[in-house]
Amino acid sequence: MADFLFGICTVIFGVILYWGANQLPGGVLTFALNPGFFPKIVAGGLIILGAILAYQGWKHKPTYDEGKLNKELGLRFGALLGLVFLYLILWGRGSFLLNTLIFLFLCQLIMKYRVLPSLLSSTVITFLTWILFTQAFKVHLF
Amino acid sequence: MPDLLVAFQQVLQPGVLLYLILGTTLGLVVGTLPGLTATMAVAILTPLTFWLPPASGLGVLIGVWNAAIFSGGISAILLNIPGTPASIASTFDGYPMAKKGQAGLALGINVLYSFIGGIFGIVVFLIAAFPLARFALSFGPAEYFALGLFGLSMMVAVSGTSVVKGLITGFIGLALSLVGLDPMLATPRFNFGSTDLITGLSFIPLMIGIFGLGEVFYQMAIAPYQSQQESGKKKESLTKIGRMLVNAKEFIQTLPAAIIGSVTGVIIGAIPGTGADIASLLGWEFSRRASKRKEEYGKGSIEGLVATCAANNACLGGALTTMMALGIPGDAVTAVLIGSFMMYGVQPGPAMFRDRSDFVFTVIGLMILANLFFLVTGFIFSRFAGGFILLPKPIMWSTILILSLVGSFSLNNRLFDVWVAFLGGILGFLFRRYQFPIGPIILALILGPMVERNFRTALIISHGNPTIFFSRPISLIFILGTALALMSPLFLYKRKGEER
Repeated sequence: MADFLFGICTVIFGVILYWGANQLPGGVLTFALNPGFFPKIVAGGLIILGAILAYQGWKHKPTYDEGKLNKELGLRFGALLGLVFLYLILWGRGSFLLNTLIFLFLCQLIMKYRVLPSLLSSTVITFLTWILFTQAFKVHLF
Repeated sequence: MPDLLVAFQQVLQPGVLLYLILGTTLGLVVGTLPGLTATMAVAILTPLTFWLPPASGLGVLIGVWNAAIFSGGISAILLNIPGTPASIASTFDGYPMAKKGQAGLALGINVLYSFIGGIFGIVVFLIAAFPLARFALSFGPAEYFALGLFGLSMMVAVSGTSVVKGLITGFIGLALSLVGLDPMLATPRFNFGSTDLITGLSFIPLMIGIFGLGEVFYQMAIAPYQSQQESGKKKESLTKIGRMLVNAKEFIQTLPAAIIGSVTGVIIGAIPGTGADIASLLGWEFSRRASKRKEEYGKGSIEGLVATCAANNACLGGALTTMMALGIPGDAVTAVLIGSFMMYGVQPGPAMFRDRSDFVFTVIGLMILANLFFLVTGFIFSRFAGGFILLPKPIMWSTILILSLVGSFSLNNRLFDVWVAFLGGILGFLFRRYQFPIGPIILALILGPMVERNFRTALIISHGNPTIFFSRPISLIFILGTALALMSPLFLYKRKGEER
């Protein structure tokens, strides 16, 4: 089923790409100068390949284990993605050191690491990262 | 030769040596730890070396690359877990040797023959790269288009998974490479009015996302309990190392295997899109077929281990030849290195040999020194590698996570690049989870603009007549190679069906 869904998504992506390529301004002299020329070829390839994958996914059993992530792993993974998303949303607000320390601490807790070692290692990693980028590489972090 | 001596003078500067040692040390750690790859390490370190002089920055990256490929064999031998994909074949005979009480000898073979293979690859590069680059200077747009297509097709053909999936990731990479400005008319394309996207998707953050963050997300989603399982294995790992050096009789006995492995490694490495994992597997297989002691392979054969270790480091020289002489990545790491070279203002390809031969010789010098460093430090590191394998996974993954995010930001001081890395990470996770090969997407990102530009230029030259790609001999050869590469999985599938 996963292959079937991927195939359908690829076809949709190809159709959107083709539509986008059609909106690009036309070229002059020969068709090869049209900015939309190559994108249309890529879009066509995606549509054809997506259709083949969807067909394969529909007709054949997968050769790999496409079983769902168990609930706990799924939740943990979702929490990690959410944490990264939140960290990026809050980038530039507050303090890099504090934001990063909390972020890494929570990441390690999500990975089921013990509280005290998580706190210690997060602190060390945060400060080393800050020193590396601001002092060694002169990057301005918030 | 005088250029090589001048290059050696440059790389022997204390500053460059320091960064080379740093890179080699990092590579030893990265390669030993299962889950970390040379590609990931080079991708994450690339923006961190941005502020260094080119020789120093490349010293870090080349040191990491060479050392990581070799040190992946350490955990393959001690734990039966390959440290990097290049060391998969090292588990066939390395781990059985360790179980028989020959852990030290296996580790020593890993160091010595990785060095021998690495030096062999560099010698081949020295001999072949310059003539190849001179030959490639005669290429026109049709030849470059066909070469780029061939490079893309080879990655798909040897991806080992579904050809359709490999093609899809390749076409997704081509689609991503379309974002930005039209290469011939500079018309904005698919930037949705965003000034951040006007120059296209930043290659290095995307690469960091796919290889670095994608791997972190995958490991954390799929195998968070492996640390508990591995701690059990760690206790089983052998503590007595014993003799590490081969004696004279063993050296002579394993010479044919070393030669077969090295030659196989260089040839496979030179083929665009293949890598050290394929090189070491084929090196093992070819050595087994040629050996008088076939029955020992897979059960602790010294010859088997010699062949794989020689092959996976010899592959680096072959991949570098293709990358630097033709501008086509030989494997995933050289695909990343192309980005690094461009960061230093150097475009890999035949013109580099004509205009920046000093840079070429600097790379050669760094490769030789990196091999010498890991030869010297490898024996010591191998003895005490157990401590690194014990590093808790949460610390490792969270370090990679923050280095990937901040590293992506540091390149252009843009938060947008971090978002690109994050989305690349999600893409990388999905590809891994659902068995899509990752290599084609990076290859397509690099080759896409080149393929498009040369395709359209060739059509303009021929007034829209597509036979230009078939009427020029070199272009025709590459296109036939492309067709063969794409059809070879079908032949193999049919042959397997007949055998059944």
